[in-house]
Amino acid sequence: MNALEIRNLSKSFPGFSLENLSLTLPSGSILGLIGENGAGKSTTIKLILDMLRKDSGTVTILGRDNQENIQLTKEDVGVVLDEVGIPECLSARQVGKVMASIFRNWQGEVYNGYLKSLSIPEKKPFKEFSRGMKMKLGIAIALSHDPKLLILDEATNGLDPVVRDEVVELFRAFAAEEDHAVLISSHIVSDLEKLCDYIAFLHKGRLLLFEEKDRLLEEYGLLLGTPEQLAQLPRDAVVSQKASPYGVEALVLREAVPAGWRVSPINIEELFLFLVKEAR
Amino acid sequence: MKGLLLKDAYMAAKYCRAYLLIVAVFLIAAPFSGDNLFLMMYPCILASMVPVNLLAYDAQSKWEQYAGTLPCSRDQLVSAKYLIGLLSSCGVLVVTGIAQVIRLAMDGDVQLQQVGALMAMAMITSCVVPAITLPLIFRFGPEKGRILYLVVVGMACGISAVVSISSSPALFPQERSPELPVLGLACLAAAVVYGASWYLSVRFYRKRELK
Repeated sequence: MNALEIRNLSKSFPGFSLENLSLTLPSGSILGLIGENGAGKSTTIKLILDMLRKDSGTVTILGRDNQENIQLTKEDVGVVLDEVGIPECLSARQVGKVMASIFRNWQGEVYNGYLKSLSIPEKKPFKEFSRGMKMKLGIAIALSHDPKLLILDEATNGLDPVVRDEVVELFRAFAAEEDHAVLISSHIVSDLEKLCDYIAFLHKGRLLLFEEKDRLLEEYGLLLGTPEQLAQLPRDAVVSQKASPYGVEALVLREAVPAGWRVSPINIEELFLFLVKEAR
Repeated sequence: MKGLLLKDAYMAAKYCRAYLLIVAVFLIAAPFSGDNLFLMMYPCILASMVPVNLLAYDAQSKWEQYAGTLPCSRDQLVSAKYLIGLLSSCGVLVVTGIAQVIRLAMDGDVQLQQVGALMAMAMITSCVVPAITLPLIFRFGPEKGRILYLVVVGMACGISAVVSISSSPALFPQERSPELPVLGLACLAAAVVYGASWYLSVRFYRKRELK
């Protein structure tokens, strides 16, 4: 089953529009939504959760349309937003009591276990938490009601490397279950490269690319040469190119490059930058 | 809903603690101030401010957006605020009633009709002020809504002060107190206004985009 299916999703605001977005997240996998600030990542997530009204398109979460009893669907979805959103005066213990009355499947013991394993203070008010600690509390809540889908909006931004590694490990462990899936958005591509099975690039509300990560890394490569050398390549081989101090760097489709050319592997961040440059 | 009320109760206990002190000062002063309506009504207005303040704190912590991700309906989110307002107003009404009975007892003239009239006024104030302002907040957001709220509260305080001055020597002497059925009807009307306000807020909030 697909944990999430988005078909032709559109939403317009003054000065921004998300256009015909289509994505599929199969269960048991992690989808990374990559885009610069203002690309439409948060808008997409808010449309999925019906926090914003879509102009057109459909969103299906865990097999249920998000316009039909979304409240019930949200029982199975754990969400962490960029700014978490916990009232500042509440302690982790109080938050646990509140959530126990909000989620039908709340697992108090699991929550307390996360508080301990993530070293989250139980009695300290939320406003006194560091950014990393706030995020960890958000993640602990999201994981403590037996969710099937995790939606994380910039959840790793601003975290120090140690905490980031810790939470990335939690997401990976969560997605290891066959019926679990994770949608994670970030503009920090390196985080997602380590974690994701699928990658979607968003740029100014448009989906530039949506593909399995391994396939992307197989399909695309980096080629360094002079402009004259690159001109010898078939037209469909070069996706995008840019001048560098050592000549011209080109994003190429490996399959279309004739034998004999030395194509270097490309990482997701470089791929994203090339595609954004091309889109501009 | 229970979780939302619990969260609001925690927040009210933290942020509205000072209100208890202010209410206590006003209610202690009320029996010694003759017929000063302002002293009696202000605690009611203060109680009606509880949900408004909680909404402002919610906005500050981005709770509104987070609540949008939880399995709570928009109707429940609105209803929790109306309920917490009702609970705080009821608490203040009971204490206000006791303070007024003490005041009248000190004058040696406790009349049911008189107490009823004062309590009806307190209840109407408790219902009508938030009934006007909460839909504005749910429609325009806490920032703009709070400004509108302060305008309404300012007007209510001004009116109660003017009425208080002009109704000397006694606010509701026995011969001028409205009949109990009239008071009952007035209270019922205030409750209907509160209910209508809730309905309007729910309608507004269902359409609100949680950006």
